[in-house]
Amino acid sequence: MKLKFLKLNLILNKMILEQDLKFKNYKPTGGKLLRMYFQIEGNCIKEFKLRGDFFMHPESEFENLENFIKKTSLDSKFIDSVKEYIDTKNITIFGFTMDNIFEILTTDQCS
Amino acid sequence: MQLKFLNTGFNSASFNFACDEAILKWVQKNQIPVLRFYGFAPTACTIGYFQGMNLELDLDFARQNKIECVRRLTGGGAVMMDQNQFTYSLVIPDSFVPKNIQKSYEYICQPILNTLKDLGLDAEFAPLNDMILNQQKISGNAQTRKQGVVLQHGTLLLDVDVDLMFRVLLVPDEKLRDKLVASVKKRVTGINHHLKREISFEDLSELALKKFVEFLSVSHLDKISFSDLNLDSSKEIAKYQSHAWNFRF
Repeated sequence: MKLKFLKLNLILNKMILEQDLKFKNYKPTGGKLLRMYFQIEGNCIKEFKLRGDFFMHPESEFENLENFIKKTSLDSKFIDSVKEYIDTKNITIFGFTMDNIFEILTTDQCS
Repeated sequence: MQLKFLNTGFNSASFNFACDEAILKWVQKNQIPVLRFYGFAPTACTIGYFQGMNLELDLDFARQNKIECVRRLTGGGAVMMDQNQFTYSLVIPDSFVPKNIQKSYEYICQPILNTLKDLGLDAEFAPLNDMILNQQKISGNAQTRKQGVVLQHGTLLLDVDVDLMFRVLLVPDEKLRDKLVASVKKRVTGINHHLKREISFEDLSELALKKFVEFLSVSHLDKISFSDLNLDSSKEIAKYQSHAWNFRF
């Protein structure tokens, strides 16, 4: 059973590589270590996976937030749109802000 | 306030987190706070709810050394758990604690700080979720809130093996590993070092229970059993051993 899962994991990792996702680590000042996989085409976020040692309440909203970010256009309205979604869903985040996410997605300065 | 208590001693990580989840469900149903003290044996690594297992842990090293790797219900970072730690969980209806999450962390950490004070250690709360002694971290805590109930668990370091910790925890940049290990050695400490003696898990449990009872103004304290928690089914334990849970992100 374990071997089967390991194989699945390898396949998933390979898929991520094949999709040519970018991977970045980023630690905002005073925040938590964010680890992100993403793929951007123009203003369109084709893929977005956020991992890290942050806190988010309620945790059950995490995947919905990832999906919302994925559907949001990466333009000047990005930060406000995601912030509005977070307010609407009563999500509380400790360890990063949407400004951090925007910075990671739009610059190549973090490794 | 009425408080239920149990000391489950040393168990595997999957058992401990299954036990936390069973208590969470019990408190959601019964609305009575439950305090649990526990430890981890064998050595385990736990990752925060939002972390990626492959990104945080050397899984080959963990497998070779029979270190169980488990995702927590709570956020925060990857931690190595061994017999040199004292762990607590307080599961409590949210009406008993400050609504503000940061304040509620501080509130629930207070009885642990009072415990340390009784031992002569002047530790402080360090936002968001740590306790420090002489500017060194001695405790990390994490919290989740589900259906009107807060679960906060935290670990108090009695001793710390930073070298082993960094054999299993991956570092973002291998080139900086030595520097990072040296830095963590400076920033993290165990209370035995400051007490200049080894305090036993049982002695610490006894004192900490007294401090929780005082701080929460408990008028009625009694024990809760595994059968009350309906943990026999081991369904929850299987969840924390499953690939679906541990590798979900």
